Amino acid sequence: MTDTVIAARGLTKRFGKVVALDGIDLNVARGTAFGLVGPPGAGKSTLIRVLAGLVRPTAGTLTIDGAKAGSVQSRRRLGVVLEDAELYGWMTGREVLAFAADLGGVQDDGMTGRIDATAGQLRLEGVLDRRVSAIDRPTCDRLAIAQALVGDPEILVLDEPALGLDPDSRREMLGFVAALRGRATVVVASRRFADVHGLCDRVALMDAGRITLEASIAEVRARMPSVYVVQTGSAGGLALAGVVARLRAEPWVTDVSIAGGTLRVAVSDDERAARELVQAVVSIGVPVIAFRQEHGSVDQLDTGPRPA
Amino acid sequence: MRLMSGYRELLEKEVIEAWRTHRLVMVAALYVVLGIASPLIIRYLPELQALFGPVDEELGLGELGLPDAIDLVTRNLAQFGSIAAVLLAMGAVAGEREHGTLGLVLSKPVSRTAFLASKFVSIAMVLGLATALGVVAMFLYSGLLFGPTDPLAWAQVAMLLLLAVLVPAAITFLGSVLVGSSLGAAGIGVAGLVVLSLGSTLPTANPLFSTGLAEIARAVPLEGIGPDLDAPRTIMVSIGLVVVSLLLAWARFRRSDV
Repeated sequence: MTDTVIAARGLTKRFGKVVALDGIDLNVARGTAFGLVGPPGAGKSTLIRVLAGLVRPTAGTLTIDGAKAGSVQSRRRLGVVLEDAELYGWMTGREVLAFAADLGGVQDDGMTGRIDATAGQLRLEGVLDRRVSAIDRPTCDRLAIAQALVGDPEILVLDEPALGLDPDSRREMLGFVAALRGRATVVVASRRFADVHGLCDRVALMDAGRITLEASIAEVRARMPSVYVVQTGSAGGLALAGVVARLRAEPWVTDVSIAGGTLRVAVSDDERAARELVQAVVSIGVPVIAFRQEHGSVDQLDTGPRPA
Repeated sequence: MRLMSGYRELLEKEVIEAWRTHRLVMVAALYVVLGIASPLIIRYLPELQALFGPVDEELGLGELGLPDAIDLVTRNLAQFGSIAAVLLAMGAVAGEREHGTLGLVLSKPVSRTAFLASKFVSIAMVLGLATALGVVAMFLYSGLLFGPTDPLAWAQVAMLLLLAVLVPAAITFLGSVLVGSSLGAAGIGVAGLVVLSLGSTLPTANPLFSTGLAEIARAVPLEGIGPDLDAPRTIMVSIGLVVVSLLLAWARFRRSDV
């Protein structure tokens, strides 16, 4: 039997006439990593804010280990990193962690050790004695995760932890979050499936305040159309238009887009794509320079019931 | 106690913040300067005036003494203190919202009651310390320049002046909870001050407004509170204004979305 730690039933939140959450039902199992994926405005951040006790639901319930979300008891179990949250600029890195640990109920005798251990885990030793206002953005983002972790929470909730970071910082940040798996239940919200697919066990796809699909990462990937990128030697024009027309006529091709000399082809049959795609382009007389497979977008997912 | 969960930690943070951001020093310095300058100005004003040449007797200042110094210092501390109170309280909640730190704190296991209480208590502590220092400065300088006065009377002056500035602080604090911006909160605080000042110009209504506290404070070290001043009523109305503002702020904040 699965041990559910976060449970939502008919969770609804309206801001005036805007429905931010529309009857969400959700279960997150203890010790797992769970992703919330969807475009801006899908309701991910609102769901996380309800979880953190910052927003009150209009209807429905959200419980954390049986305690109503928002209660002091439920927040004792949480470490939260909000998308738009800032740290106090006048504090030093060490003071940020000490303040969070203090509020998280860490005893004074274990405080220094806990702060040093958390800082070491997130490579923050060098900024512990610097003021937050003098620390660069990616490091501040790591400090925000550290302040959520320092109280040793049972559940870590992160809203867009990698948003706005350059690719290297993004990779590093997601690596830090991945290292937390097994230590706590992790809930990560992101607008990019790529941010959660190597990180989470299950994912809920959200759109317009609803969960359109909740499944394991493997299942989501299986539903996701493969996308192949064909870089041709043509700069465009009639030859490529001919290629596009030819591909669109193929039953295993679901979408074709073109940018310069590069074709992006979504397919429903990987075997036929691997066998016939390059051939289809070359047969029209257009040379192929490179050919690779990419992950599709969650926007292209078929979220309907799977055939038996 | 769940209602005040996190209060000690939050108050500690507020006190350190008041020190680090120089709020405490600036407000205390303002009060001390006013406490020292008021008796000095009254004592040396005739000499200062004489520097600019002979003055017509009808236009002269006449005899200036301790009552004038006390009148000046209580007015100054109440007026400048009210402005300092508005400035201190305007960002209490709205500022945290603007800077994005409100979510960080309230997602921790702290109660919203404790959050508001720590905010207002720290404002009251800053104003209280500043008032105490300003009144001590006034007590020492007036004693030096005009002769000794009763220190207990000055303790009463300090309490009355503190209450006089806590009223605009509480109104601005309510504004800081109601609106999303510090400037909006300051606007509500200033509007409150204007209403209190206009109300106090009506002789029959004056005892109902906290501005009357400065008059009571003025009377205490001199002849004592006369029959024309209704001190208990003015004090009770002022305390009532503070309590009602804080209750409204609490009622609004405990259910608001962050």
